[in-house]
Amino acid sequence: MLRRIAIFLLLAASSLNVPAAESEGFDSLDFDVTTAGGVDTTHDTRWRHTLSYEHGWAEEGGSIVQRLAWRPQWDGLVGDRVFFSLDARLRVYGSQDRFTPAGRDHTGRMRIRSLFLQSSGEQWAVQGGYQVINLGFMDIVAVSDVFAPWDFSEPAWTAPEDARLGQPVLAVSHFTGAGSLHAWVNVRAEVTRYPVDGLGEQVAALLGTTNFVLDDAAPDYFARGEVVLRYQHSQGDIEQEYILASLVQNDPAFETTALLPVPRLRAVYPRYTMAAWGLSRVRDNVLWKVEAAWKQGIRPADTNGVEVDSLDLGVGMEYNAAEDWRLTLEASRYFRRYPSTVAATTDDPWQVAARWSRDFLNQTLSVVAFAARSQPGRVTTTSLSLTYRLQDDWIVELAATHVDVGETTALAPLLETASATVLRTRYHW
Amino acid sequence: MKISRNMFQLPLQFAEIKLSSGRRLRTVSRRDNVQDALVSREGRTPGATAAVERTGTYLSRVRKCRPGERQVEGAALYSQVIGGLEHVFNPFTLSLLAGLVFLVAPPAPVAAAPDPRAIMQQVIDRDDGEARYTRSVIATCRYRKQGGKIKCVERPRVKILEGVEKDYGPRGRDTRSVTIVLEPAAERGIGFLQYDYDDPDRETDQWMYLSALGKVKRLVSGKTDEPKRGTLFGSEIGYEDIERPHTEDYVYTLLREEEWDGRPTWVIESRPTPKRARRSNYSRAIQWIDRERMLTLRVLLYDRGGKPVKQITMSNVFRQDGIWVVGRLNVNNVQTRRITTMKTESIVINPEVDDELLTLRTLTDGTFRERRLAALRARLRTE
Repeated sequence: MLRRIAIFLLLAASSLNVPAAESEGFDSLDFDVTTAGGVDTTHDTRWRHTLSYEHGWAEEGGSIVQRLAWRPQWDGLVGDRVFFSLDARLRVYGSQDRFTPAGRDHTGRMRIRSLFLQSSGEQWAVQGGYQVINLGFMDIVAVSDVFAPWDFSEPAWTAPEDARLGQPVLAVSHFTGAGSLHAWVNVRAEVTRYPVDGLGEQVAALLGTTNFVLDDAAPDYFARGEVVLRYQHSQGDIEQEYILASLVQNDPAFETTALLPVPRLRAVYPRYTMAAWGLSRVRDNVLWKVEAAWKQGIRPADTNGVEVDSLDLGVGMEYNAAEDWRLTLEASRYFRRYPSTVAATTDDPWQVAARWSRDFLNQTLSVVAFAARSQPGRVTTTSLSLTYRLQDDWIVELAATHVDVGETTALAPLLETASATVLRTRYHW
Repeated sequence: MKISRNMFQLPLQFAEIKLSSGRRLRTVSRRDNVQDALVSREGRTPGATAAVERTGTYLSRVRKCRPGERQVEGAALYSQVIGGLEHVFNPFTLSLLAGLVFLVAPPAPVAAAPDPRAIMQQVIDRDDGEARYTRSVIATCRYRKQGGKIKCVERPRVKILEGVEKDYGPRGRDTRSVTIVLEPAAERGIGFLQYDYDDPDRETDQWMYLSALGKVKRLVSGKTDEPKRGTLFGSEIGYEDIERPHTEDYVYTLLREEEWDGRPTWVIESRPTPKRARRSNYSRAIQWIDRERMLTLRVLLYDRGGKPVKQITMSNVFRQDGIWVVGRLNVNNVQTRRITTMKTESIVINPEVDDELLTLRTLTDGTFRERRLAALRARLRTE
């Protein structure tokens, strides 16, 4: 009898699936996170809204920023063959914000970043409307990425992804397996934005006097048009791109047309041509990037308007430390060739930049450190930002930025030294 | 079970063909590599995989079915690799199979002491279709145990992803996929294009479309000879957890056979080889393998110091188009006390996927991408 009981217990025990020793330290409890916390998985929309508030303090002049912004975005098919994309931002500046004129409660500004229609066929696509076009492989330094102008109006307050300006562009693309050919036509090039609004104010700030006459010879539509051709090719771990472009300089050059009775200046936007090549290659955990651009007929402000040719070179790398942290290093140098009758007025410009980032707590907390230095102007930018995700759609960011301008030698970059600390909070839905 | 060339290169095979009635037809042949013909993975549309043809007395080839050939619903064709067995094919049964079409179905239990490496190879090679369109949810939270139950102590972090992937390469082991983030709103519209390679020395190619910058950016993954510490979208699913393993990288031991979650399983321990150990976050894994479906049902993972770190469980297993699909995957990190549930909300197996959808074009050409995805979504609704 006892033997029977023993056998029964043994059989019963074996059928109970008793956890083996290796299960120690593990939970045997089942749990479905998707059913916890009221997770809605059925929500499906093409809209994306961002409501953000930022409050910032600057060391210089005690100015602050106080901004509420709403950014609606939508993209998707309209009908069967047309894709529509909208990205706009409405910003309201508070009474104490440095942009709000004295005596006013607030001021507002609307900006459209992209608004375009697109359609595509078997191997081609056409896209027309307001859009930001990025060229090249570099993320920080600009060698061939000169099509979309920059918004430097508030370098200490503007996130890099917000610093590119959209333009009215018609794009035609042709796709062939591993390659693609793109042609962009821009009917009116935008200009780079600086802290001082308007060319007259910029020149006045530079000359220290308002006793001059400025003729803005900004060409109108089509005369200020641009054409860019780019061929991209991706094969294995190598990507290449070739660019041919006829561009309008985003920064004006100034010509003196008369000295008396008061200086008379004329702002011109020279046209130049660019041939560029870029390559990126992945080797182990490093992405190497090289870009070279030959620009003919540019008139940079730091050459006092002298027309030069320039060979711009850039090298960079992105290092991934086993998904633990990432480092990006980029450097560029712009070798100027002056006309034989003109002596070089400045040293060749250059730029170096580094960006380090690391995520903590499963991407809940992100830390980004950034440093860059460029010549002319001995502009040094350093920043540190901490981003914390309170929830999936609720993000808080604390960023401290310092822009140091060593010398103001030319109109561009007409930047200002500034130290800013910004607390941003964003809610997405 | 995935039918691949790799399996057929193994030295000794026999094939069994099982009809839905439960009747088993053992195929016998004196010819070597008779299953080579099974390599045709085309035409694995629902209900139709391969036709077995008879030539002379012997089973000589298994080919893709032709239009109009009669399909045997629920019939199952499978083969099992057992080292050391001399294979003998019964010519009599073969005549019954000529011209028939079979569904892919579970393999038969191993009759003799099974080779754990061969089992794991079958798990890796298990048929998951040549292409898939999925909509998945990944939810993660920190948790605590209270009253014998697990409770989230924070609002779960949720990602909803829409993805298309397709197998490539000579053995169908390379994969190209495109994934679009649908939720959360903060990341909506971000797209990933990824090429994964079976070659262990070849890095994953990955590109990301940054909608805020309007730019496609190439990403670099970690070096192949060091452990990847990153996780999938901040969840507890590590990049290593979703890599396609290579059996030559591990030493396997069959610990026992037991039932897990009502299913008969093999319990197999795997330890990385010294070469693999350098780039693995784990020193040891114990896996419960469903003996009939060749699915992993549970994995216990130990960190490099030998301490328990993660328990991965697969549940809500269902069969679609003759292929077993894991409906829910749970990853419980017992060290960080975080748990992730990944759910397959919906899936279309073997949809028609245009190869160009899995190129860089898909990240930037909105019309092109959305029209093709709309066709896949429509198929989801009709099924």
